[in-house]
Amino acid sequence: MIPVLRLVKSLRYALKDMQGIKNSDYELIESINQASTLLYSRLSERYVQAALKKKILLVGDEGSATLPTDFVHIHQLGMGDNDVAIPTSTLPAVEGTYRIIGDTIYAYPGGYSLEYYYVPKRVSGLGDELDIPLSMSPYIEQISLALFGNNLEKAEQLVTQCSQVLAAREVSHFTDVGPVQALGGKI
Amino acid sequence: MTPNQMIAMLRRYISDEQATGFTSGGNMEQPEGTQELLSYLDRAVDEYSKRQALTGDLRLLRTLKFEGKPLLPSDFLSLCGAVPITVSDKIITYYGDTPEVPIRYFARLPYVSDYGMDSELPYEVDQSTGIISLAAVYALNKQEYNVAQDLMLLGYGGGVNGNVEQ
Repeated sequence: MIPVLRLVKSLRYALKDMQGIKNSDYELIESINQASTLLYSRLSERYVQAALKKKILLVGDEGSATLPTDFVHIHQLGMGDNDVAIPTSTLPAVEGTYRIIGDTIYAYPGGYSLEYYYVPKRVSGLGDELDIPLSMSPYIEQISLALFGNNLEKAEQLVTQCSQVLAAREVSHFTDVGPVQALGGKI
Repeated sequence: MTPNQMIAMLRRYISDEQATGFTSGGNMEQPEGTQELLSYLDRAVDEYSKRQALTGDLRLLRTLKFEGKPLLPSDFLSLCGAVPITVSDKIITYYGDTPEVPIRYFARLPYVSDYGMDSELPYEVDQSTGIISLAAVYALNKQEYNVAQDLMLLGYGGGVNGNVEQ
């Protein structure tokens, strides 16, 4: 979670407007909201797991449950014992399947582990906290600044750069094994 | 500084200590003398405040209050940045319930004539001096003196041969 006040202070410093004469808090908070929405939308589109969230989903006897309000699209629906439900194009007639229509998910009654891509909720006050890991703070600042200056192209570039960095975070490193043996390389 | 002291200083600025150019009588209907100088001071307050707001003088910053039916303050000059409000018939409407962040604006300094002649005015020294200097230009201008140099010194333009560039 990133405190909004911290972001606003950083933005004001970058904009050389610490006294809030030229830019209102509202403008800065709005650009923070735009930045977080843009970043997380792109992360979801690129399946970067930094934008994943996990929640316990209880499907009642009626066979449906409402999806979280910050839901963008599903990653997987875990059922326990490492089983994963699979999507179906009809209303789930057998256990282990699910279907999403609008903001409702249909599945067999029971408890599930819902992993989904999310977009952070909007913030509105200086005392709020942005639902984003603290490590993302520098990216959000830079993207907010670009959006504040109406520079969409730069914002998209920063988002792409951020997506690459975050995607690379999912693996620690690749070991360089050298040329393959068949081509004369060593093992 | 009181309005009386400001008038006295203004008279010194325009070399009218004896109140011969601007008599000590007069009223709003017959704006002469002291009353006329007061109106110049008020006019100077307007211009000085606008000028200071443009330079971002922090001392003019105020916060809009949203209690009951909020009205645009009478001393309102301009908003600090874009804020989600609309104003119609001086009534402020906020997009939403109540603002979660402060909405700041630049306010005009209070008019000299709003205070009793012996009341203390809420001006800093530099503000009083700026207002009196500007009022002096207005007063001298009325007497058709060349005030170009005075305006230049105050940073309000002023060209050669008395041509005033606003």
